Amino acid sequence: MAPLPSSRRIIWAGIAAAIAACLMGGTFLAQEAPKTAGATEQPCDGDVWCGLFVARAEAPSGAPADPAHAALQEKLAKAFPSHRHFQLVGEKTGSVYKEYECWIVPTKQLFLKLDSLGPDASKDGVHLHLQLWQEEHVILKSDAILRREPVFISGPAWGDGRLIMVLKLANDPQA
Amino acid sequence: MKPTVDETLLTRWIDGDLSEAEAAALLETHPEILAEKETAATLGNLLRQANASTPDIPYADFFNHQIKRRIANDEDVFSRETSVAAAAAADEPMVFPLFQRLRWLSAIGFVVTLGLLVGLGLRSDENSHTEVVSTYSPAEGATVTSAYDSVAGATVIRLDGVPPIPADVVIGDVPAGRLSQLHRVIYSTQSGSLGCPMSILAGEKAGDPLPEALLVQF
Repeated sequence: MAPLPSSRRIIWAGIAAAIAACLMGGTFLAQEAPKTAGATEQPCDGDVWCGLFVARAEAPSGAPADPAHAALQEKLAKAFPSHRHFQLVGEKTGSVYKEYECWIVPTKQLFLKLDSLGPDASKDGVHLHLQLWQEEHVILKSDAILRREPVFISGPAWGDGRLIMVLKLANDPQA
Repeated sequence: MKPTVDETLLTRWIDGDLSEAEAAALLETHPEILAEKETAATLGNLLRQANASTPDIPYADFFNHQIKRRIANDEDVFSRETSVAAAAAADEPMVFPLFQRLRWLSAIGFVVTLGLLVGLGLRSDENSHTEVVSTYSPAEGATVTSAYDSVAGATVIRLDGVPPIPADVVIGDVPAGRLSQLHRVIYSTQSGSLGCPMSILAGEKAGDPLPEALLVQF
């Protein structure tokens, strides 16, 4: 088979790149489509999952394994390398609506109040005003754009461990 | 011109082809040819000596002319082949006329497309993590820091300086430590049948006069 002239090679390479761009663009649009449809069906800005973990340097004797949140515990172990054991002590899922406050209470001692400022301009996250409450007191205020990856809030110490609040979009709480 | 009889005889005599009788008869008729033979022999010797040291190319002018002509022919063939190839390229069917006319623009377009794809990929990765715009702690003496941890794939907010929660406070359904560290021990014994110590604890805060509940720890 005779080799293609250089001009044809360039042309075929350009066509291949254009096809790849179209396919990737289609993928991005496909990823965005459910969000758009969801926004038209309900005024909810997003669903969030909140979990409260106790981080300890060593696992207590008889502590049960938690395979349901293995991926999240692996991330916690990377973010907090001085702790090796992460135990989920409470979790809650809720929806956030613009101009409505949303209370996510995984435990009575430590919980979150969320105010949605609406979807992020890039449409891939939710702009939240976040408050971390310890019983009757606010101990943290933050403005954050919550996207696919979680946010870990390292809170007060408790016993021989530390409380860590995890907040993420609720598309896959186990991830 | 046809040689004369004398010239033929003379050549045969010089070459040694005549018999003795014929050679004697010729010398009697033309005695001057002896000197001519010696002159020819001397001249032949000189020519052989000269040719042995520096042999010249025979017909040098003709040889050079032939070489130049062949070089000229080769150059003509080469230029003809080049022009034929160029003509073939020009006659190549235009599959994508616009692209083939804009060859370099097509290449530039390919590079730009590739750059856009890479940029989109990077942007997608960058936009996946949670962005903390601002943080503040109203708690006295508390400090807040935030950073994105690329290894963990998460944004981490660290709240330091907040008073610890007492160990006897139950968070969720999990006590912070061993029950004996959280509650007052009322009675403790070593159980032989169980193989471990057994304790009865007061389920209230230390210092209360009466227990609110009794707990058993093995």
